Amino acid sequence: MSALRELQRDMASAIREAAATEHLTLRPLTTLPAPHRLVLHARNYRASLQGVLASAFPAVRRLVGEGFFAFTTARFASLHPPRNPVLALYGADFPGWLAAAPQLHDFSFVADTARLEWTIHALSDALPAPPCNLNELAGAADAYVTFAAGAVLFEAPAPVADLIEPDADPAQLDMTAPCYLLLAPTEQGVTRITLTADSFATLTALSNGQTLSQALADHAPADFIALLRRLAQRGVFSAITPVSGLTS
Amino acid sequence: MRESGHILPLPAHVAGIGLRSPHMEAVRGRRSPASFLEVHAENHMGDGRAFRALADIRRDNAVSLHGVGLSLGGAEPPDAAHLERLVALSDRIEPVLVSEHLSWCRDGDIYMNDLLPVTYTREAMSCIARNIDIAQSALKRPLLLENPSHYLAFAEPVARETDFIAELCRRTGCGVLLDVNNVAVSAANLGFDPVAWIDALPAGLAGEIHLAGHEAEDGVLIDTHGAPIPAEVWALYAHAVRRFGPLPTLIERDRNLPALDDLLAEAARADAIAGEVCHVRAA
Repeated sequence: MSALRELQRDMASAIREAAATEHLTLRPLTTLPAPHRLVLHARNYRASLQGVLASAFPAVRRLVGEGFFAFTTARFASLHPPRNPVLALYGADFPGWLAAAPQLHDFSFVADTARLEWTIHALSDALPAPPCNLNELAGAADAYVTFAAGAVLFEAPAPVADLIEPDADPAQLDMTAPCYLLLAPTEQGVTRITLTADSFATLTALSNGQTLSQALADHAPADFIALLRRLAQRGVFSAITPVSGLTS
Repeated sequence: MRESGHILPLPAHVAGIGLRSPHMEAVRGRRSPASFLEVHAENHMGDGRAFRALADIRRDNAVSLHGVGLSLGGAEPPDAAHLERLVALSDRIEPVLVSEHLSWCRDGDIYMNDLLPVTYTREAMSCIARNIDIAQSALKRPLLLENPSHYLAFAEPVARETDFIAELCRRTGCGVLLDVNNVAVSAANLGFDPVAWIDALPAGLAGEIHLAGHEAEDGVLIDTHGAPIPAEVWALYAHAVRRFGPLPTLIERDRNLPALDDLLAEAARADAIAGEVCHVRAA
């Protein structure tokens, strides 16, 4: 390893992990002792990553409080440093980190809230898909439905769609009420469509490659075709392919 | 890439502003009074909403790209995938300037999200010149390299920063993005004369100037881009314009972002200083 690479590796780990430096010798300066100057970089590194996480997970921050958020994001930043210089991509592992945190063992809704916040964050740069024409269904015996790239089906065992609202108070919510959502990018941002359990199951079956009649045979939610029509108009699907079209 | 040519067709006597996401909609679809708008390249990579917004803004405005992730000061070559993303953005936006930093941020596959200082040694010269060559060859254009803020000094004997920068420019054909605030911050933190630093930088290398504010913390100045440009930076800017002539000048603000009009007012002040200095020079 070159001397420069060795020095930079040493300096990087000193900044990330507050480790002792073997190869880095600093010149004494009058205003602040040399080791403290490396701490400035360490502080900036940690604070900037914590800022990125605070920006992507505002509801989690509110739910767990400033103290725990600062503690857990510092630990997360230390163990999960960025692997990409595009900082908007940083934080994808944070919901999983919260799910595994022993302090949150009895508060799994926090990790679920993080999962929803990250889904919305990840979709915020995505472009909306054009509406899909459902008229092709007319006269077809059956059809496959292809979801647009930005459409995401989301479920959680707690009311996380309510929890991400700025004034949400878990004490005022039925925390056993599950959440079923379909999220998709729109011109204005990210739309969240609340679904029933049956509609969610049917859409999940469609996204897993079942035909419409197969999916409806298992779940049969009321007014599903009307829902399908609304979703198609909002760019949730990229294609609706009649089964006869597939075999012709 | 060896050929020089970082002087680009910008109206040199008019300042631009750093454009951040809260202000993007305000300038989208219209010509901004600022001569050019500079964005962080990493915020607009890919093909999503952030890129489309920038492409819309580019239709009416000159745009410059300021990268933070290439780690040109690193011992390792630039990440090929990241360079590819920058090239794709540059090809589509056709910026008037592309700049990066004389610093490093990459440790293997980890990105430090900071502009870490370089040791000005022979080995560093060789690595950084190689990295700049790689980046310029991919971009098919010369880069401007920004002098960083310093918070610490290495003990080993090293080249003078200005000599190091001048040699890098000679070897690679890149230019200098002279960050006047970084000179002021480094001078205060390391104990050197900022005017002497600017005087030691050979004329003809600088292709752009950055102006920003800083804040004091534990007896150290921190380059936060979070405060208005202070008097000593304006004075140093006047000195830089006196020495190098008027250059495309950018008002940078990342934290405590003020109203767009406040940034434009600082840009107008930079214009006024440049105009005054050049008038005196001409007289």
